Amino acid sequence: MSLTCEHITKVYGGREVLKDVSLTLEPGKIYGLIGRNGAGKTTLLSILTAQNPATRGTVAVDGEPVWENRKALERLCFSRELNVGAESGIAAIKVKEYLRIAATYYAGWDKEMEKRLVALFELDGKKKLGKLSKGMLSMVTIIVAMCSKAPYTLLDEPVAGLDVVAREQFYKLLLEEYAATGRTFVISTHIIEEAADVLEEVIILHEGRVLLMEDTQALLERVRYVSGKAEEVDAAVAGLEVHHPETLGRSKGVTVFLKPGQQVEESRDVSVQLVNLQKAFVALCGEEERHEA
Amino acid sequence: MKRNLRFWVRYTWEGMQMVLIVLAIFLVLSAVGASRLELTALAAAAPAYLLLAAGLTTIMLNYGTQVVYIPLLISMGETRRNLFLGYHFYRALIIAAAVGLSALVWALVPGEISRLGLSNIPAILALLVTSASLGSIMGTIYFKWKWVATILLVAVFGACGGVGGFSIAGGGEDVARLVGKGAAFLAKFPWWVALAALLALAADAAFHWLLLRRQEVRL
Repeated sequence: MSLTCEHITKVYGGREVLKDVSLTLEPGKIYGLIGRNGAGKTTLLSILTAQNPATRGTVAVDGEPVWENRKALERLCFSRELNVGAESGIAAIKVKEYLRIAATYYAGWDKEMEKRLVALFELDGKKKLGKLSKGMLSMVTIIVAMCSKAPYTLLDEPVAGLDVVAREQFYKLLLEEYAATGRTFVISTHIIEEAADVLEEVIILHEGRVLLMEDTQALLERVRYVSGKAEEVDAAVAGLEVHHPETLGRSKGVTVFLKPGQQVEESRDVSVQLVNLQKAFVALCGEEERHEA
Repeated sequence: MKRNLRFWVRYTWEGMQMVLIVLAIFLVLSAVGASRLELTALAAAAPAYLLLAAGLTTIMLNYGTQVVYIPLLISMGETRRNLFLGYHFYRALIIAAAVGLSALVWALVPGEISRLGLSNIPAILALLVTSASLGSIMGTIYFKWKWVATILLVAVFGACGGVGGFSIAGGGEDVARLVGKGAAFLAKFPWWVALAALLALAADAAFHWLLLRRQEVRL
């Protein structure tokens, strides 16, 4: 029982945007898919749900291939970020029509929940999607994701444009739904720190490759920010996996990813701190920065 | 498949509403333009307008269906195969409904126009299938290669407008003569009209399926 992809490659115009990606998403977990712009997150989610074809590779849900397989697709929902720009055709569709179509196609659609969420987010069903703000469009995608009741639900930037109150409502809703149903959620987001508390496992996608897939808590327990005098820091982290060195005059800071059994000794000239998920992500995917005094 | 059918039946009904609006416009224009109102003649002519409206609607709805609804429905977990079948089913339903209604009205209102209409049903069907298929191919081209389709649209509608304009300038006699000739020609229902319809349908289906298989969802 899982959503798996094996050796997924996607090529656009000769450029590989996904490079041999293999993943197994287990049921009953909340995954966070994080990566920089253009890392391939939306492409990966689209391929996992057969919305886009892969150039190479296979995707299966609970052992069944998803491509052109209605039975397998019924177990999936990818509520994608809605773009209602000038080029978009969906701008003229009203909110209630969009939800009606979703209700028609998702086998387990929860009509009562739809009513409750439309009221919670104060959405006007008669409004056209093109007339909604970015935050309101995110609310529509959240409603589709939640009400679909799909066992594997994928959300692309669900909190984009939402104010802090609506974001809190979303995380609360997500946790309530997760606790009540045990559905699997995959959430792609750039607001990493805020989402970190709800993500059980984190997948970091960088330049089309899965850089890391790990239990969020386990990851945070093995990442340290080591700073102090440059030569002391270098000595303290010798032989460890070091990322994102920053120097300021004679001071230096590095992020280290410890392996089992490894540790960094703190001393008078070397400070060792735990880091948050955002810092760990930046250390892995950010450009190397040097600040000379 | 049941859910997919439910969507396309509803979509057909929405398409039929558009057909009826276009029909109403034709009828009003016809009634206003006539020197004296003859309800029997108008009733006998109405099916012709209905068929014209159905033809125009199936052409006009193609772009919206392919650009908006098909990607939307893929994003909601429907298979491309079912959408392909649903898309062709809805167009067949509109054509069948328009032809069926027209035949019914012609059968109820006897006269020369009705006789001509009833004897031309197979040819009318072939023409509607051809126009819907060509419209669908245009829709697919527009979806994939917007500029090519824009040039084609300007060329086709420009040519139609030009012919129409010259005919009206000539007192409309050319149009009447052309329609008469066309009706007489179709009454014979040459085999190649049916073949053209089948070929257009096959080309549309093949072209649409090839692109649908590779279509990427971008909402």
